[in-house]
Amino acid sequence: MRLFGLSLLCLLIACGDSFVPAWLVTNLRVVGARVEVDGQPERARPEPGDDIQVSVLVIDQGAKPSEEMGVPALTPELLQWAFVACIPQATLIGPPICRTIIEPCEGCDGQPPADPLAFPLIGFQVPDQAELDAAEANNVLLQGVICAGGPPAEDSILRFILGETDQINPCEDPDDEGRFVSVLVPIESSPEDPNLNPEISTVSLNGRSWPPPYDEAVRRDAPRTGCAPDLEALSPEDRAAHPKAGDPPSSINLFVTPQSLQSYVLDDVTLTEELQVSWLTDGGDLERTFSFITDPANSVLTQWGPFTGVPEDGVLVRFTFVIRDGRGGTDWRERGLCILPAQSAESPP
Amino acid sequence: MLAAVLRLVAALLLAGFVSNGAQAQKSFELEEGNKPLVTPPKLIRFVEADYPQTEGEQPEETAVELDVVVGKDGLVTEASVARSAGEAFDEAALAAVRQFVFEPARTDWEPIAARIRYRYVFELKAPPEAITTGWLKGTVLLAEDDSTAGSVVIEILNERGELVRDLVSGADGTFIATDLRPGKYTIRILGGEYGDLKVEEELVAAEVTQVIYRLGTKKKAAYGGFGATAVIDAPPREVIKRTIDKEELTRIPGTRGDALRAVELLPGVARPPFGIGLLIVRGSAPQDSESFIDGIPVPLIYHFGGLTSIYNSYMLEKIDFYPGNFSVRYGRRTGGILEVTTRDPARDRIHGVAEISVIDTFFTIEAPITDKISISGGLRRSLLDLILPSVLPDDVGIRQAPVYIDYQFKMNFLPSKRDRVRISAYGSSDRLALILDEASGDDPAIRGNTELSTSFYNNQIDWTRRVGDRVEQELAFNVGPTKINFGLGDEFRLEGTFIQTYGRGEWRYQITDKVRLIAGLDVYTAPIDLVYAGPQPGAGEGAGTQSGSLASQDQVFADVDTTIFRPGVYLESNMQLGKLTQLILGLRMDYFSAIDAFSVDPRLTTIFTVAEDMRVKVGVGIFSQPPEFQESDASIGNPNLDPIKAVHLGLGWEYDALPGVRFGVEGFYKYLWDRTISTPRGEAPFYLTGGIGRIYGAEFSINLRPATGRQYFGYLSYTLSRSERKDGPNEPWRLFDFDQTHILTAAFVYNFPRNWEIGGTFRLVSGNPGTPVIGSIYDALNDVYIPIDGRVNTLRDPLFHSLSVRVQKKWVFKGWKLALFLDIQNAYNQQNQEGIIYNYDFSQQTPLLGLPIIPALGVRGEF
Repeated sequence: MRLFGLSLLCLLIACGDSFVPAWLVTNLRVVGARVEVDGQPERARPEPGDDIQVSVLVIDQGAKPSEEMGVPALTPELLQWAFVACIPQATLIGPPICRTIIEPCEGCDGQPPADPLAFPLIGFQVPDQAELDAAEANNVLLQGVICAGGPPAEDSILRFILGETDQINPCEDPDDEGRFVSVLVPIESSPEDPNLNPEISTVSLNGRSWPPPYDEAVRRDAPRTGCAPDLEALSPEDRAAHPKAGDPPSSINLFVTPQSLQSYVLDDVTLTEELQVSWLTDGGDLERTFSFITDPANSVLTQWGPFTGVPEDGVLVRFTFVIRDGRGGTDWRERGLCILPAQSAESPP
Repeated sequence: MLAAVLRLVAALLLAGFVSNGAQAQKSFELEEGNKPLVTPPKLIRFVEADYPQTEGEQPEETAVELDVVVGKDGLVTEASVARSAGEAFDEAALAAVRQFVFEPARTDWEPIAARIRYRYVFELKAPPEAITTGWLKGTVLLAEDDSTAGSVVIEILNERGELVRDLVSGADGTFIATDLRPGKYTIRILGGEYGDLKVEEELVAAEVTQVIYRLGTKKKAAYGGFGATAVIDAPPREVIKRTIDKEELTRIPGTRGDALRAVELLPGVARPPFGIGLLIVRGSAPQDSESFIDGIPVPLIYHFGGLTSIYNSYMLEKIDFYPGNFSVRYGRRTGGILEVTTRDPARDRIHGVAEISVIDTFFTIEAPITDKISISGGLRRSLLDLILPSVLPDDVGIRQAPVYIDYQFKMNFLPSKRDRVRISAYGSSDRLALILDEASGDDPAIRGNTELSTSFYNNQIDWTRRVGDRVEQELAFNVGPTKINFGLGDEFRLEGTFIQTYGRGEWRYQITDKVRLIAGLDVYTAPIDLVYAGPQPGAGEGAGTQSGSLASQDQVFADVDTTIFRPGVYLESNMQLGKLTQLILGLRMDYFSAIDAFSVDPRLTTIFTVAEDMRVKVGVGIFSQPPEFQESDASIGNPNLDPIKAVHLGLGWEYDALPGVRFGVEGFYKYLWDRTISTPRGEAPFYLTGGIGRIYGAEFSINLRPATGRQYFGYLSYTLSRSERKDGPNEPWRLFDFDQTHILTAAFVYNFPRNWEIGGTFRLVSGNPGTPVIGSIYDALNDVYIPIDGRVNTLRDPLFHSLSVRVQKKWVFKGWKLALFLDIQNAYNQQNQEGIIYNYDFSQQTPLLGLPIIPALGVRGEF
């Protein structure tokens, strides 16, 4: 009753209006984790004994521009991480915790990766059925820390539990950005009808294909400002497809493949998946953080409004769209837009 | 254990049968000086009667003996001649006595009506010589209740209609006009809202004409006791009982006329956040206390968890509040008891009240059917559904705007002078349903259909009978369904129905005038049909303030079909030991079917009358309580839990410093053990027995009421306390969720002339503790963040303070009254912090502010 009351109260009085909304990326964020079974990457749920790869999507505002004229953008902060793969303890309250460590775990350790733009990619083998049954577990857990610019703290949670500190910092240097991450991987319970990862088929902007050059992804080392030259080689139509500062809101439409909304049986009842869509951007104004794609529609739409003022050389805005099927399946896409001033010299006549 | 219980029972029975040799009491009417438990009325205003003119020789001294009934307010309600001294003297004495004002009789400090024998002595004085004028002397009262009319204008006109004198009566309504020529006069009293009165008087030389004038209409007392026998309040069985009577129930500022909200202002009651309807008594959790209506436990006492109480305050007689050390009559709780007594229907004529405000509208009506039967009824409906749709965000669809309805019906039947039968039915219904098209804010779980509906319908019959002169029997039976339906999208669902059936039988035997024995049993049973889907319920208290999104919490399912059975028996002995000491011994036994366990609770209260105006009370007792239903149910709980136990220690002191001013100091200590606690991560068996708690503190109070009349009333109370819990043998002590170290409350209401009433309530209260969130874990499966709690209840909200003001203006017409009121909560719009809200990843926080200024304007008519 109190939960309902507080939720309703917050709904009425707009409790969180002073906060930065969840769709706005202002710092290092972990926004998704995708599980792929080795040899069958479309499968989202492993069976006991399967080898899996878990890729963790980390986003931020990209490389910070240099304050010095003529100096290239700085390389974005290196990501360092430390993870543990395990069979979780049976819990109903509080965050998940590990019961039995799974080893070996490739990519779990905290060594800085060779590729400064790499994201965590962790591989391990799911324990066999007997081990899972002994723990009364129907999932495996990947839990850890991701930091930017420094190593993770090795024992911050342990020190808190022991009462040595009332602070929890994910990174050794408290000034480094970091996140505690928990990825719960459900074990497949219906091998004859396995859960598959949903798939985003297209993302359109204002009813047309997303304009280049950021219609596939945006490099993490791309600077936030100074994107105007990237539009010079585009056709006038593609250039004009990038909204200008002060333009009215644009429509972003996300489509999934028809197979993404799987049917499944739970307690003898046939249900159809519902896809939760997370909208994320590092600039402008999104209408909402979450949307849902329900059968039979295969798409969902939201509105995005650009800035009212930007520098002459433009601002690169990153978008990340993540979909989840609620049963462990995930997919994501990244896009970008270069927002120029309303009366930009780059604008077509 | 059993042998000890048997010895205690034997001691109680033996004490009950031992007589101290006092004479058997012939009746329950008070006789002057015969009741050592009772303080007789004390005359505080004597009115001199003129020596009447009689035929024949006038005796120098003569006396009239009168039987006088002094009401609870100290005014004379009845006077009759017991021993005559002649008609003239009788009339003069009666006229004078009817104007007497007394300090009312009290039984253990509670004012009661009392009948006394008064001897009025006349002494002959030498008549004045050559007095050629007459005097007019009188009192102006209000007809409705015989209280003083205060200062009113009185005009005296001669036979030609010329104004010969105008004067203003005193604050006590008395006036005197001296040296008026003998003759006929028209006396005109300008009563303002009570109307004017015109009376013809004839003044005689050398005489004082005494008069009493009454303005307005007379409303007889609604209920003067069943049959012709005065009802005597039972002697108190608790260390501390705090009563709010019907004259104050609806007038306390900041409560919008809701009597049950007034309980929050009493000492020992903590302030619930946002004013939601949680009864937090002396550091006990809300579920440790219980509310009763006419002796029957009530499943829901407020609409929507605290908006308005479910029983119309204009149909209540009083509210008794027992913060601890309560009688064995009440069991199954370790906190406090709230006993609401409804008012019996009027027996004189039809009456009614209708009111409309920005929150709700209601009407009540009551009337006699025959001289033995009277009925009353009421209906109320909220008006929020007219307001809310215009303030909700656009993406929130309203399927059912919040609406509450409650109704009350009562029939009082007096088949004989020894019997009273009451049949009542009351109920409540709350409904709210929203559709959230998209996920609200940053939580994907808050979407879809959101609904809340609760309803209950109670049907009750009780029969009180005097069996002989010494035994009173009370039987009560209640049955009624309660339904609850609470859903939040796909993440949370609770649907349940239970049919509460409750029966009580109590027998009170006045063995001698110093010893009373009470035996009783009560049985609570309820078939429960409940379906639940949602997060695993935790222990509730001490669980931290943030649980994160429902999306990240595992769901549990429960389908319960069971019956709860909780019988209890009790025995109590009330003994007067000498003149100064009252001893109350009690024993209660309960059985709890859900955990298949018994409890035995002995209790003792001693009251020392140190002086006529001072008492000291000491109480100690054991109190038991079953675990909450969900904690012991086999599907989501642990049926092997033990009953929760508590020991209460109380020491109280009361002093009537001045007429109408009472001081009180109460110290208390409570120790709890066998508390139900959650397993560390919610794993099976989900709950364990093993928590302990300690609560200690002191309450200071001053009550202000005039010795007579009801011109004002006020409270000042301060509570200093500490409430702590320990959730396991290896856990540290921590603060209770609602530990409020300082609670200061001041309330005062004053009746100004011309029926203006203004009052204010000020509260200064320590903020509630809270658990900080020190970090979060990103849940990749659901795209939400799971909070990491810091040390439990190591934060505290800032000090809370608030002023509520109530202004009312009443107009009195012939046969009815109209009142316009404005009740302003948080009059200076203090932005009190009620907690902390966090952003989506718990990296930012902002204060959660409480209720702003809330004015409630309303109009009420009464007849």
